[in-house]
Amino acid sequence: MGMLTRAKKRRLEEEENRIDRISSLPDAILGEIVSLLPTKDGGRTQVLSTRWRHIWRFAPLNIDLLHCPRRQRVRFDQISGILSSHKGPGHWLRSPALDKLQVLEFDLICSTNTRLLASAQRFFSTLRIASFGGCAFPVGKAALALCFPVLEQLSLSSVRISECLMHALLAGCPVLQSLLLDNNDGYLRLRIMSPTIRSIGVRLRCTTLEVYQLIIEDAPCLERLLLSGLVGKMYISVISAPRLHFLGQLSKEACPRIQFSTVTFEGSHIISLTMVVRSVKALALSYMDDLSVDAVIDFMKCFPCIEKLNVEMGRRIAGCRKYQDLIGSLDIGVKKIVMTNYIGCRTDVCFAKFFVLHARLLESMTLEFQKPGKTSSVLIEKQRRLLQIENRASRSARFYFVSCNYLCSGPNCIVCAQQVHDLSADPFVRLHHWT
Amino acid sequence: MAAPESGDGNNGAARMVTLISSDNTRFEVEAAAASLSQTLQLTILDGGGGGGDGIPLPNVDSATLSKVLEYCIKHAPAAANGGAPNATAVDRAELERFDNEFVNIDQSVLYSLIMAAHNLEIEGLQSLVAKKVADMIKGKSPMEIRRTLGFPDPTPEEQAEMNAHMLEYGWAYE
Repeated sequence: MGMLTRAKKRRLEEEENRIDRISSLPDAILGEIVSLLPTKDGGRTQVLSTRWRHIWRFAPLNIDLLHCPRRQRVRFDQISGILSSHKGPGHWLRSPALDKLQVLEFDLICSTNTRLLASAQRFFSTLRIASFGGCAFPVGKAALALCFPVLEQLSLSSVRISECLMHALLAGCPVLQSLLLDNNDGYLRLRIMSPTIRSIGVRLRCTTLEVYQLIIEDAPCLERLLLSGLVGKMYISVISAPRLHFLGQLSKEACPRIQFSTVTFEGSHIISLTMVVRSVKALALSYMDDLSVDAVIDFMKCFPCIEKLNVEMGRRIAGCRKYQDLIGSLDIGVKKIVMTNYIGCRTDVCFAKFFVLHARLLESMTLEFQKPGKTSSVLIEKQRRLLQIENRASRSARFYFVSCNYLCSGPNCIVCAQQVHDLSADPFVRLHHWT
Repeated sequence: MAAPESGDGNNGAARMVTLISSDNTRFEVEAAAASLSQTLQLTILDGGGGGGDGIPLPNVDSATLSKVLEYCIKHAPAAANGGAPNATAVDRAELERFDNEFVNIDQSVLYSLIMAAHNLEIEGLQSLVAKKVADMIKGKSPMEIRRTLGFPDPTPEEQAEMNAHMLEYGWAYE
């Protein structure tokens, strides 16, 4: 008596196991579990019992659109329905725990839901760092008061915003230091007037055929203007940016015209020059069909104080004309040169040799071959001979031959959040993993 | 006589700490393993848990604690390497095999483990057990989930409510 048979014991254990314990976990833990589920599975947990009803609505919401099995995917037209039944983000955004929020990353993945953005509005007055993505800024009656009195870093990525609102937004950021504009839509012209801005990065919407206009009207603290060479055209006009230090990547395709108060470049050809821009110390050039020594001499004339030059070699069309007479009294003061996408053909050699023979202050020249693996010593020897390194103008110059192990050294890498917002780092260095 | 507790691991032997479960069982483990718990880490850094003292854990029973420590001991070397960036693929595969086996347990044990992982704030274990429960739910219909989790059979009202939900939240059932 009192002894349990083995079978009986097992049955009792099984029953014990069948009792639902998971539902008695605290809300926060259940919420964490639900947030790990694919969207549809998460939505289904609401019906399990009254205990589970509210868990999904207040847990972080996943929306699986692309990178998941087809069965789990949510259709675009279902998103706003899901968002409106999921009370989560709107609910948290109202939570007092978030009062005085300083950093906000807001990405709606191209949803048209503007209510969420409106519920984030209450943070605008305390934000120091803000990033808005995939959303539209409402206009008319629903327009938000765009006032960010302490905002220092702003990123707008795949955002739809009208020209008028864009200017209102910038005017509402009196202490803005860095601004990233990535693939936005809704405006074609942007004027920058900011006494505090130090860094601007622009990447254009890749499908557009329109020409964007960027006018740096008055930016006394602007140090870096970073541009991407993706498809899309931009006219840049710099009226006043006396401290501009980093400029690039300029390419004929992306910036067919760049104007510095009175200097105008059309493509890589200077068309008028009445003054020089002494502030620019680092210049990045890219993908120019006709990037020739002549064109670079023009750049050097306009930016005589360049110390670092970063050139991404493009298609080799430019010839190797005589340039001696063009140099004239020009003193090439560049100290560091990096050439990427270098293949060592005649045009490349001609281009690099010009600096070997004329850059008197050259400290280092790095030639990055666009091929994986170690650069062979035979190739290096040949290049050293062709470049006439023996006759270099700067005796202390060092030469590095490296290979690029990855394919994405292209211009699309130059404008990313870190390069724009991290004001302590050289924005052009990150292009090269070997540095 | 030598000091009973050297405190630093400099003289060879790893430092040990004692943990005491709610039912008063004492567990002696390496400090490095117990430190996977954010809750215990500070106490241990302050020199607690050594000698005859022991750290009482009134919310964790001995069966659960022994299971938790099994996890910690297995994961401590990798955690000491800072998430083991230089761990070999073999090491990682072995940890993964261990993790899968580790959560292959009854629901009541799983429940205690979840609560302990949260009380002790052991990050890796928290995600491991949460993922286990999510896997129990994933890809199932509400009825199947109810059965898996051990809910009683639905009352007619509950059944009606489930049907209504399926109509309202069609996207979740496609």
